[in-house]
Amino acid sequence: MYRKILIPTDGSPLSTAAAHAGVDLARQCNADVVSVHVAPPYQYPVNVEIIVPEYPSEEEYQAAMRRHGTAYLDEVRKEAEALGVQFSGTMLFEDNTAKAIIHAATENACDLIFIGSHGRSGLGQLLLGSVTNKILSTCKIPVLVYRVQQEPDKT
Amino acid sequence: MFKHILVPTDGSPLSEAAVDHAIEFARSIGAKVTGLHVIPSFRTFTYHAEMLEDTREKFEKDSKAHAVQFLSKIERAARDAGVEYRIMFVTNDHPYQAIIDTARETGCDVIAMASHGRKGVQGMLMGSETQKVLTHSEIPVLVYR
Repeated sequence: MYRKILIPTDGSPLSTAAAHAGVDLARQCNADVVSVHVAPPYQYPVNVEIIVPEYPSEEEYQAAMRRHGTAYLDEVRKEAEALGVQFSGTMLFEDNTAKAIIHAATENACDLIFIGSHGRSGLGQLLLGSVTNKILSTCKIPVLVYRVQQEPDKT
Repeated sequence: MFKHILVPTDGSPLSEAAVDHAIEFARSIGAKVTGLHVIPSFRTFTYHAEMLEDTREKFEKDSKAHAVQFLSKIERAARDAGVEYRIMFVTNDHPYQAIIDTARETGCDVIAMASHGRKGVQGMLMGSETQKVLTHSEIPVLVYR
């Protein structure tokens, strides 16, 4: 039924655990996986009086974020390869993470978004993670919210 | 990964559209479904207009008739799709609690429901029961928009 599943990851242990479950569902459905990592765009230091010499240039910032993003996406890619699931990964620079995820789902013609209940901000939020909540209230395709019970051990 | 899907319905059009999707999903992955309808408990003081005028017996009889009607749609859809199913209704004042409890008791590994039900999109962002299920459920929830 589902042909292409979008799995967003923010690289946190909670998100990675959810992503692995998503890949497992893709295997069961015989679907492809599109994984996406959204990073905030470069902030020009316009509102500071003194620019510290260590402030990264746009190129440095993007290169660093890409490095992280690729590592996060590779976590999902490895799982997909292990289970024999077709995988593609994208990295996006966008302030509004939820909007970027929904946009990526539309662009890639995905028919399901598989997302963890909580991500980088952890289980501290009582209800749902903020990005998950925004996706649920604005997107047009089905969303599977994968509940992560506890922080996976950081080994 | 998923073997048993809980499909709650309140009989609203949005909820019934979600039922169709959920059955189709169950068929595609070879899972079985449990259809559930939650009936509110009878109260003497209530904002449900029909409950004010009814006797307890009449209310329970009407509620059960509704439950059977809603659940028979799930039954028919599941039978047509060749999906293994069972249907049940429970009485509880809090549908989300009944949904989560039933999922646990019947060993479901995912809950599939509409983002909005009977109250429609008046809850602008998410339907209130769906929001509560999402908050309290320990198993994954598939939300149909």
